[in-house]
Amino acid sequence: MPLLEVDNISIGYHTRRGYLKAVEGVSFVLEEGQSLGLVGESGCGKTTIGMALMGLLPPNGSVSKGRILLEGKNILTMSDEEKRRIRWRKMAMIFQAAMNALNPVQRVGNQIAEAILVHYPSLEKEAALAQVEGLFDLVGIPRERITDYPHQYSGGMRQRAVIAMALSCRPKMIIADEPTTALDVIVQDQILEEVKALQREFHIGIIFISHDISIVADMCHQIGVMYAGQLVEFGPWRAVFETPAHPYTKALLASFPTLTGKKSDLMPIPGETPNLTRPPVGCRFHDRCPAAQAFCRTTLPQWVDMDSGHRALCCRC
Amino acid sequence: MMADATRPILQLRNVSKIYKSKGSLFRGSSRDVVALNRLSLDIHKGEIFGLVGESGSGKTTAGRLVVSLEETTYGRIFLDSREVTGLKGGALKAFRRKIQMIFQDPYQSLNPQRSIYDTVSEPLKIHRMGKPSERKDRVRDALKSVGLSPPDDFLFRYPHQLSGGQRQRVAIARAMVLNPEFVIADEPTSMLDASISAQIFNILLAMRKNFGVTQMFITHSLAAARYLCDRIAVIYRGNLMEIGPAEEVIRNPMHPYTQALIDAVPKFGHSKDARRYGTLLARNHEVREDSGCIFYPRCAVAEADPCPRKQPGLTGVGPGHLVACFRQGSAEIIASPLADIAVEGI
Repeated sequence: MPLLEVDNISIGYHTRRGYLKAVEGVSFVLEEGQSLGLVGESGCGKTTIGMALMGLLPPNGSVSKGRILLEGKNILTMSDEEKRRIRWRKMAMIFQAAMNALNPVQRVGNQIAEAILVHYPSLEKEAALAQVEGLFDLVGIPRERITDYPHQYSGGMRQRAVIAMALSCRPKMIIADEPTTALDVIVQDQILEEVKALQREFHIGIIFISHDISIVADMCHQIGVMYAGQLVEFGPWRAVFETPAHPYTKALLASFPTLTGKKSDLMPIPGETPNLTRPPVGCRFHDRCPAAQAFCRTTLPQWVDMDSGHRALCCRC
Repeated sequence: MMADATRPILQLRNVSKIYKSKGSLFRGSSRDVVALNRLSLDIHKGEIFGLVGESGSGKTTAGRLVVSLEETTYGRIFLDSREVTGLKGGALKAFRRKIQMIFQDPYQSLNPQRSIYDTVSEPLKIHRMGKPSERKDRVRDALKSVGLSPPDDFLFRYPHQLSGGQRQRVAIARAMVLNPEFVIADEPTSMLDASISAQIFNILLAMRKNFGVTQMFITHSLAAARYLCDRIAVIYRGNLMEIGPAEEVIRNPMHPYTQALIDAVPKFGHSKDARRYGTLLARNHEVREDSGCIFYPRCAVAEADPCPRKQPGLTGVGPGHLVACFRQGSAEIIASPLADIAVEGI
């Protein structure tokens, strides 16, 4: 049984400008100990999926269709109490910009100890703090910093503290939403290496959400490319990167400057993403697609299967 | 259009910026923050020059000093061979016609209460350029040159009606409407998606091609610098580490910090094959004083002498390629921030 199965999920937000279909018909599977990268640009729906997985959608957002199965059980039909129990213990989240996750007026060690005590109430505070020390060793924060406040930490250290908090209840799965975007490249590299090592050691499933495909390629076994609320390509990272099938994936790869290899022209993608309060009838990428035909505007694209789990949502593949 | 190597359009000589901590009676007290330490470089007419560094490197400070948004603490800046350090009043205003800046955050750099027309025409009004009837045409031209076409669609919109990428184009149009000689772009794409960033990069390249504008591109991304820039300078904690042709510095980095940056850049799935240099320490060296190479505490290839005690000057390692590193043969800098050391032909 896979660790996580997202089955035909649609999510929308009620906004003043209408009902925004942020995610439409997304399905994928995450096995234990594997990592999946959800890649896409602003507004593609990747963060919305992360929020829905953790049950943290804002009040105006809701899952309109589909199931989310964690170890076989649909978390969308769970009671609040059940959701509270799985949050942090089965599934933890690392947010973008750790500043949002740490309480500025509480010492870091105490915050993490508190998270542990909420889920293991029979523990003594000293035992919880001892666990925090062990976590700090794991993520590379010197133990003596346990009594500091978040503002005394550097950006990289704060992110490590957030990772320690995510690991504190030994989850089976972590959702990391742009965990290194606010960090410098050298710190980012160190943190990503540590996350990879922790994943291997504790056999944790990771969903890695990012707009930066270069990181995702380094981190993830599988990649899902999202555009305008839909999954448009999915498969093993090498297949998606080296033989991309969907025109958007190809265009996205061609818009990143690289450090190595032949220096070629960057190909920006002309136009803008569609308005998701009134999504297009047919393919959502048709108006920006270099390979589009007339029928793409009105025909819903179908999934095309290539080998070894590599698939793309496109009429032209 | 090739850069004219014989005509430096911008020259920095020992430019330093020190932020003093409150209540400090002595210059150089250890609580002062040295944001920029004796930065000297030339930028040639028509080139796109990259200033690459992480946060705290001083790269944004350097940009702000060049456009006179802040004053230098020491050092001198020359534009077209005329000194522009500490300009005030009318001379500063004339200077501002020649040199413009594009900022990082397109959501903060445009006045939300002004229409696009008002924003882009404002420099023309301030410098009293053109008759009001001509200004509309100049604004239209500027908008067209950044790909906001047809321009009349945009003239009377407001920033909140535009996407981040469109706002950044407006910021570029505003910078270009005066036909400046020199534009500084401070991380113009770090808040934009990759495909939109690519649009902006191509606009900056077109600006050089069509208008001959010299540019300083401030960035944390070596890959972006490689794409856009003719030459790059790598800066760390206020100090110049390495400078040279972009392709050369990236393919053949000589400074351990540049090498560490290159190691750290994600490599699209090929990190294991590509990691080469390993110049970063896992645990920093202890430092007892503030002297010594600024990179010494993190340097895995540092030598016991003189790296912890002396600061390296720039030394040549290839055509146009310089590095500040004792291991490459740098001589020691005799520290004296007030000395006006003439540095030839960087």
